[in-house]
Amino acid sequence: MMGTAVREGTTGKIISFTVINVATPEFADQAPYGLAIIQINGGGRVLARIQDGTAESMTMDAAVTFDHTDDHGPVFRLM
Amino acid sequence: MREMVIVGAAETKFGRSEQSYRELAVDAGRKAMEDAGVDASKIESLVLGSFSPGTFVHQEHVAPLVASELGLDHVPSTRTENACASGATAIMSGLMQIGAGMHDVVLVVGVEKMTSTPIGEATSILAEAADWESEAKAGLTFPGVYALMARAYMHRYGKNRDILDAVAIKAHGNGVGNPYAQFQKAITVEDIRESMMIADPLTLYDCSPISDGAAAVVLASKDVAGDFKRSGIPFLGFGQASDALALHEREEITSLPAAQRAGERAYKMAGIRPDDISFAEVHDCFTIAEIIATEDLGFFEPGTGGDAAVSGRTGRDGPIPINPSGGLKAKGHPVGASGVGQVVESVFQLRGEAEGRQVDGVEYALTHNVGGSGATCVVTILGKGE
Repeated sequence: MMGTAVREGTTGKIISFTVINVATPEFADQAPYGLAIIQINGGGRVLARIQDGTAESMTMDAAVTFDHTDDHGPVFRLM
Repeated sequence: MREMVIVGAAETKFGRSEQSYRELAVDAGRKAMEDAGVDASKIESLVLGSFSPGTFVHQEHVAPLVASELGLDHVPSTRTENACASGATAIMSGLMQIGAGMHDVVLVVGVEKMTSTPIGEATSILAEAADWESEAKAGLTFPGVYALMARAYMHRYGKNRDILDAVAIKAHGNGVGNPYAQFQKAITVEDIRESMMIADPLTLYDCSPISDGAAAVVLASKDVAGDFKRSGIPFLGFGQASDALALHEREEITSLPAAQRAGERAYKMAGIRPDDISFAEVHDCFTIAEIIATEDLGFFEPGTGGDAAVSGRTGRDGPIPINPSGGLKAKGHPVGASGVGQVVESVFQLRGEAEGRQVDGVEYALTHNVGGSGATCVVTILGKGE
C-alpha cells in the first residue's frame, strides 16, 4: 500500500506508541526515541517519530501535528 | 488430497551453538531420517525453511547446499522464505508436493544461525521482515512493532503488564523441562522488573532471544507410511494466510487477521474445533504475541487471553496448555527453524515422548507460526495416529 501523504498542517491522534531503547545501528545516536501510529485527521494512518516523545509525554489519543521530514521519514510533535 | 503423515522428527538444541549453519541443518536432517529409519536414497525432495542466511552467515542458495551435505541423490531442493514463518511455510510446501502426487517422501529442514552476528546488526536484519519503507526505515524495530500492539491491547481491554509477566514466567517455567530449550531456568516477577527496557512497554523478558538451531521432519504419503520405523503422525489440517506487512495498514492492531484466517482454514480441513485441541505451540516471539495468538485461534475471547494466562489456564496442567516446550520465548527462536521446531515438539508430545514436559491425554496438537508482525501465518493441526 502506498503511504498516507503528510505535509505542513497535517494533524492526527496517537492510537499506539512505544519508545525504542534498543535501536538498529542507523538509529543508535537517536535512541531512545518515541514512535507512534497516528490516525490522520481526514483519513489514513502513518507510523512516525514523535519529537521529544517519551513514555511519560506520549499518551493514547493525544493530538499531534506534522513537524518536519528527514531522511528517515516524517516527524510529528505533540500539540 | 492424499493423506499425509510425519514419519521422522528431530531438532538440535536451540541457543548459542558452536555448530555452523550447515552443520546444524545436517544434524537435524540426519537425525530426522534416523528417526524415520530411512537413508538418504529414500528422500525424494528437500524443502529448506530459512529467513536470511545471506545476511546472517553470508550464504544464499542454501537448499542444494544442505541437500548435498546430507548426501541426497540430486533431489529437487528449494528454500522457502516467509520471515519467521519460513519453517512452517517449508512444511506447507512439502505437504503440497506430496499432496499433488509429485513425491511420496519429502525432507523438510528449518534452520537459522544468528548468534555470530552482532546484536545491532541482527536487529537490523530482523527489521527487514517489517515494511521497510513505512516501518523499518522510520526506526521501528521488531520489539517496537509488538510494543505498539501490546500498548494498544492493554489500553483497549484495560489491562496492565501483569498479563505479560504471566506469559514470560510460564514460558521460562516450561523451558526448565525441555532439554532442547535455550533457557532452562525459571524467572520471577522481580527478574522482569529489574530487566532492561527494550521497546516500552516490552522488557528483555518479553522478547524471544537470538538463537541458533535447526529442526527437521520427514513427511510421507500415508500410502507408503508402512515403510518406516515409526508409525506416522497425521496432518489433519493446515492453513496459511497473508496480510499487509505494516502493522498500521491493517484493520486491527490488537489481533492478527492472518492468524485468524489460517486457523479457520486448518480447523475446517481437520473438521475439529478449538475446544478439541489438547495443546498448542504458538508463535510467542514476544509475550503479547502469545496472548493475541490464543484469542486468534479461538481458545479465548478477544481481550481475555491475558487473564487466561494469569489464572493458569494455559499452564502445562491447565485446560489448554500453550507452549509446553517453553515456546520461542524460552526454547529459543532460530527464525527459520522455529516453525519446524513447533511441529517436532508436537510429534514428541503426540508420541508421548516429551520427557520432562509431557502433556497428559494428548489427542490433537496445533502449531501457529507467524512471519513478521502477522503478514504471514501458518497453522497446522496434528492427530495422534494409529
